[in-house]
Amino acid sequence: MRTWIFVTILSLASATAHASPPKDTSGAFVRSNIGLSFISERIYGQQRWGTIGYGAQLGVRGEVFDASLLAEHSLWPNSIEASFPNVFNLGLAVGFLSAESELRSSLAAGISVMLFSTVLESRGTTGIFTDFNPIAWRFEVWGHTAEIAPLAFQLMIPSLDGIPLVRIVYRTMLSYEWSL
Amino acid sequence: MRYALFMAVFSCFLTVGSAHAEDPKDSSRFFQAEAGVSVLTDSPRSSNLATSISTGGRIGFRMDRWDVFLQLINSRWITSETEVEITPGVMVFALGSGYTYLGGHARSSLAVGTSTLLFDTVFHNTGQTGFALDLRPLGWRWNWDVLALEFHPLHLNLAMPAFGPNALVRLQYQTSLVFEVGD
Repeated sequence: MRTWIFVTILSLASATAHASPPKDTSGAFVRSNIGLSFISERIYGQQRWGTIGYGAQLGVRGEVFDASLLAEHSLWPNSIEASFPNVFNLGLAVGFLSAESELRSSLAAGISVMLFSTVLESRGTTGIFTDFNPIAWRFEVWGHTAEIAPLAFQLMIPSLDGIPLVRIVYRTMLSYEWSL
Repeated sequence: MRYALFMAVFSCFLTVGSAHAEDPKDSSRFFQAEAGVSVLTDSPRSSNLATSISTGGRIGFRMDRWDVFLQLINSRWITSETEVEITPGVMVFALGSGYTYLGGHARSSLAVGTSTLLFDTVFHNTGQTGFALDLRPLGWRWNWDVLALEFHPLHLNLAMPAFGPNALVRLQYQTSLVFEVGD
């Protein structure tokens, strides 16, 4: 079911991606992001939920490259224990526009802070995260720029000591960007 | 991590080259050869059991932005339960359609067909045939006269050669490079 939701989103994105090219977006910007991993946990047919990430970026863009400060709250729903472990990611991101600003690639890295406790680690333990979005559509919606990344890769290691706590997800990202 | 870094560097390299790409022709037949790898598919579960290498080809016809194609791809599965071994994997035969846009710089495609197991497993025999799906949501494309190059940084590949209680399902995130020759 989630796979078909994913396919539907991609189809809609594909249909609208080139309808309205984004206008000039150079200068300062703020953007909101939401990322959902529908099928990361489906590799072996497991029914565990994926992750839900939401956050914001504040940055500046030249003609092609952009740099920004990124903050994200990532929820890791656990359907077995009915709990919501979550982490806070804070980092720096760089982006790159291509195809006349209608495609964007980005890479982010920073710290990942545990907002829950485990048997081995306590709340507040801090590690690292990285987020790689190889390619995304950009188009104008309601006078600003929307962005859909069909498949992005995220690695979170909020605990590096002992047995590292590692979470890797493949997710779909939806973003909306305002020029300041 | 090295995989992500590789994709980042390679993506930037190819994207810079896109400034010299040309629009595709109105209509043409085309042949494609491709190679793909799936390295981090299992990483959500922190194992390495679903690594694969894919090679194959396509023949198709393009009309303006749309194209239809037949593809034959061999996905070799690398197993590592007891020792690292490259199995023959599956042969995927599929019919698909693609759409080229953004001035020829981007292409999306979907192919659906059959996947045939090329080796015996404990529960399955060589030749068992099931379902296959290849979804490429977005990839870069560069055209040079009759030649074209495509890079799909991440796409979904589902092979399901056996159904039933002992279903064999392989869902992979793959990175592929495609070379195309057209009319």
